Amino acid sequence: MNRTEKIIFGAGALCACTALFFLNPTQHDFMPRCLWKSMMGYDCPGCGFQRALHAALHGRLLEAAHYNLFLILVIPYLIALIVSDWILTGERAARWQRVTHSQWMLWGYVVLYFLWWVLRNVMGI
Amino acid sequence: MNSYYYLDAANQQQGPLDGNLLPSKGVTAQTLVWAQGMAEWTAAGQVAELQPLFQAAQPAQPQFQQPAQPQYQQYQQPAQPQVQQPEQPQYQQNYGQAQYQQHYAQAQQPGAQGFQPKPDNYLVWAILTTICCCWPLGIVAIVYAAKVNNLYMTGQYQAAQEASANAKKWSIITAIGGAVVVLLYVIFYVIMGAAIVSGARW
Repeated sequence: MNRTEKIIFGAGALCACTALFFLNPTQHDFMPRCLWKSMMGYDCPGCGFQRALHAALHGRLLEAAHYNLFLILVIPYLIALIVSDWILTGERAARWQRVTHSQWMLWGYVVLYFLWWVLRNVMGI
Repeated sequence: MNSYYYLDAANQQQGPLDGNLLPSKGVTAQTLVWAQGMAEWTAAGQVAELQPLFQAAQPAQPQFQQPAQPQYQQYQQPAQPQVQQPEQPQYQQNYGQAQYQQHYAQAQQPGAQGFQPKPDNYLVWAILTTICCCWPLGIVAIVYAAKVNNLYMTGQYQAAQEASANAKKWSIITAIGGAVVVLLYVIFYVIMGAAIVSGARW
């Protein structure tokens, strides 16, 4: 990631968050729905993230967790990854990456991802 | 300017760091550097983008080249017509190549392999696509990201590079797939909305 790419990424993330702050996905039909859910009728692991982000950006954290419980883990992990990969450099970055890029972390994520996918559909969470 | 990794005085890999900042970290024209997209570790003075940084501050370079000059001319004279002789740029080009090959050979030695920087595994993108794009294909990218780390740790740098390319490829496939779906969805609703509005008016 060079400087330009970081700025583009930051601007994109900011735009997405601004849009999700002002647009409530439950009230606008044009907000994109999950292709998987539209076709299969089951929730995918990411389903509800727009509604959850909208709620979280308005400070309604419990409601956000209700839309997608998995995001409680993913958002902090994603932030830690961005810090370790794109913000820090040198020795400090290496120290962070030993945790964020560890095999345990990566395979744990994959396992939890599928576990969450099954559980949310079976238990309706 | 690209970000570069470089080897410090203790031959430890440092960086990545914006190229402009390299001289302030004690990097000279002879220091080995590497950036994304470069095949091998190369002397900073040999990297086109970095050359201007060292030309002003590096009088050592011409000094280093001169002793080799007579030797080269002696060798070339019998084979080349005399007209060729004053052509200085050709000489410098050849010399640069030789120097490059020398560094290339160094990088191929087993001892020097510890300096290879870890290829990017694009993990941020992989995680993002598993959540945002509804496409579990992002998982493939995560698996490749894990492979990059694993292969790098065990010293299989070539394979790690390939896994890195795959992680990038699958992140892009997933992201583009997701973006296309989102775009189609929004376009569909804009058209539907326009049709309803115009229908109501008629």
